[in-house]
Amino acid sequence: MSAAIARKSLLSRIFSTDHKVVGLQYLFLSLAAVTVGIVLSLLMRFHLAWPATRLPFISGGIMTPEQYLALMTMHGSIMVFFVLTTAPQSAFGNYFLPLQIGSPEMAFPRLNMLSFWLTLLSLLVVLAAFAVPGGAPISGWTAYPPLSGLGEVTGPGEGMGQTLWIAGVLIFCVASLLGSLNFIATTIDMRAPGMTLMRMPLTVWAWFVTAILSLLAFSVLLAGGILLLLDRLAGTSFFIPGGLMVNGELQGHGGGLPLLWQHLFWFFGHPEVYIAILPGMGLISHVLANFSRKPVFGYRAMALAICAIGFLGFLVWGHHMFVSGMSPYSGLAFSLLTVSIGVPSAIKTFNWLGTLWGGRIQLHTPMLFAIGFVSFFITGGLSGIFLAQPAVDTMLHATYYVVAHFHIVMGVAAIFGIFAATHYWFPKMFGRFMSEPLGKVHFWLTFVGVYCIFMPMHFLGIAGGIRRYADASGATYLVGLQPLHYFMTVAAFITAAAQLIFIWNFFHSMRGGAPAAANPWNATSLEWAAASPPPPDNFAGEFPSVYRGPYDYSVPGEASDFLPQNFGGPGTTARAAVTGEIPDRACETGVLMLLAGVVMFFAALVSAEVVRRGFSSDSDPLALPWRILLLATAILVASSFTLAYSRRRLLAGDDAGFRHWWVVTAVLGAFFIAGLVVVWRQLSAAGVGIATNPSSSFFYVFTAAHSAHVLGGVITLAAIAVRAPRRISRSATAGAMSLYWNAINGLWVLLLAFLWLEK
Amino acid sequence: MVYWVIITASFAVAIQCLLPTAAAQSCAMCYQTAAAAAAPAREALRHGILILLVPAAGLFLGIFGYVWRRES
Repeated sequence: MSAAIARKSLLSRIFSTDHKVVGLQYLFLSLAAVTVGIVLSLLMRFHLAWPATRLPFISGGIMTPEQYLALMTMHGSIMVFFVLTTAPQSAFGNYFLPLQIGSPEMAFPRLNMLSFWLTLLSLLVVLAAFAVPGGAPISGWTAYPPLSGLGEVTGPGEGMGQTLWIAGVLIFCVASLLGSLNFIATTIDMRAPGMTLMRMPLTVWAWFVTAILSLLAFSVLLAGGILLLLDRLAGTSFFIPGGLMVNGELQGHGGGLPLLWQHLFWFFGHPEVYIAILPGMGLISHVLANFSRKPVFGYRAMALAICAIGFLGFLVWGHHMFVSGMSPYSGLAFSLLTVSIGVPSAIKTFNWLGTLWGGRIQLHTPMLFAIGFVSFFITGGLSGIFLAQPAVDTMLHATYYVVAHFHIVMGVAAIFGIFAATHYWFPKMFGRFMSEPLGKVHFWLTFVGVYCIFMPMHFLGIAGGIRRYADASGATYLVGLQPLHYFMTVAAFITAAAQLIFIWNFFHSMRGGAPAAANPWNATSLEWAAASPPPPDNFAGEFPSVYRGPYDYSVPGEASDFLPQNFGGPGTTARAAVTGEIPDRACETGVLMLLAGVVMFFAALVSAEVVRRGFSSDSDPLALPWRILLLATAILVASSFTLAYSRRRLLAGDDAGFRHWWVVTAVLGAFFIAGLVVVWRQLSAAGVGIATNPSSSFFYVFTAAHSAHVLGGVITLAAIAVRAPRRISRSATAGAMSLYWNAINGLWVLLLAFLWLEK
Repeated sequence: MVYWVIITASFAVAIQCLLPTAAAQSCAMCYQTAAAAAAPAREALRHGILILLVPAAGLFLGIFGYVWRRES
């Protein structure tokens, strides 16, 4: 009996919906991923320094160029997706967002749990690429076609390994989308009384803007990834050009466009940089204020700068391919926007220095890592200025200069943010301190070690050291640069060894660290009003109200040098009741955000078709069965009316009528899908498959993608008809479902009009 | 604050107009690939970019409009 209870308890902890447990699960997933990523990078570094040395665990002894490229691909993918995207946002965001806004939970706890398990599944699928015949893919983390789109004919790893990689990334996209809409709904609708926008900690601002970026950017990567997968598995030609000879074999694809992948991928790739760095920026602002015992210099400007960086992050992508053939005035506008992103970045850097200036600086370990972040952000930003010049960039683009630049600004800076966050919030998460002496030794070894790795790498790049080459020792002009590789490799191994100190410090301190009080850093934000570690509902039933901004340090005239956000004045501690229910408005927000992601997904598909058609003339108009399509459309439109009537019955208190028309709506939705199945069968019988020509490819993709959304709606309608959700009111459920259903139906009408115009 | 933002933005525009090379800011590889394409293809690429750019910018601003509405 007790074993059964223990097993149930263990399962409920593993599959917990508590945001703190989910946050810790994300943190441990990131730790595992970064360990794998570092090991892969060390193998690459070792090979670059001593390319002729045999390694016992490499098949054949000496690493082949393909094996090197596989390591490079997996290192980049794991670090970008499962460390830089996951740890700052999903791990710390999940744990501390509800605490910092005074909420007992995330808006959608089950969705939150689902996001984590999908992320874990995606990591396992990506890692499985190592275990299949041919091994891991070799096309880099950007997976440029045609290399990534043709299959194993292009090399080892491009068979099942590449397919698994794409599948894993697609699962990751779905997980990120679910997580993003949860973060946005939580921030908008779950804040404590008094927690106005301008009283939110900068960490919350950063997580919020990052969630918006993720929502809009990952939708586009999802669309692009599906098209790439279809090129590989279904024989379509979205990205694969015609007449391609690979290893003596003429490929059967035709008319595709590798540039189209760049177009879709970089729409995600540019914001991804900010997805990785923005949470770190918020956290650093938080830590610098805490340990300078000063308010954040220019709080409003900092919050606006986070929003501006997020917004401009999308427009910066626009310059990538918009310059060719456009009017000079448009080019000027995009150029201005590109350069403008430096303004909010400079505001943030200036304000960090302003926060430090004149403060009573306490050099605890989190503060050291925060200052390290600022150092790397400035260093990496400065090298970016050189790369912004096209003439210079043309020369440096394929060299180690770029590798050094993006590792410092996107990788190391963000990881220093993660270290700062870990040391800062460890007492809250585990009720114990990490060792300060060990933390400082770890900081200095890592700080110096990272500069030893990446500063010489700039010189290597300027001297012509080419990136992505497995062995540069064969090129005469690169032989003289080999000592730089030796130096960087030794530095890399020492720096990696220093991370063992962190790992030991982390795990040992979980049980053996010095006990920490609820607010050991004398900080002001709401997470420190909770016990360490916080109870399941975060505030033990006494939820805080907010009376002041997040950084009231050293307020003149006050006895204490910090005033917590829930401190209402001398001798007062106000409490507000919170029911624990999901607010009705959070449902509406969640569905609106889901629809924003859906809009971007279909915008990506439409954009892909427009570009694809413009570049080649192999699109024959389809003879579509318009009668069936119009009939299916009429059924779908009718379902909107039945759903509206169902809601009216609910408002009138007629529960039976509500259920009746609710079920009718679901049945009509099922009929619409059946109508599309008939259309697909007719086309198939006429010899028009998904790979016949671009028109048929896009038709099948559009209709299948839309049907999947309708199917999701039908399943949700049926589920609600069978059993109403427990934590959401019926009217809110009906309202949210109605919003989704009508939007999806409207989207279908637009798609149909688009198909009609093509005809 | 707003005053300084306007002045800074105006200054940035003026500097931009004085630097014609700045108009060529881009990823060199993407630029070269796109520039090698035919005129209709470049036009299609421009349209494709706008089809992605406009909803993304609109949704980003729309979400903040929604937040502001909720706040007020």
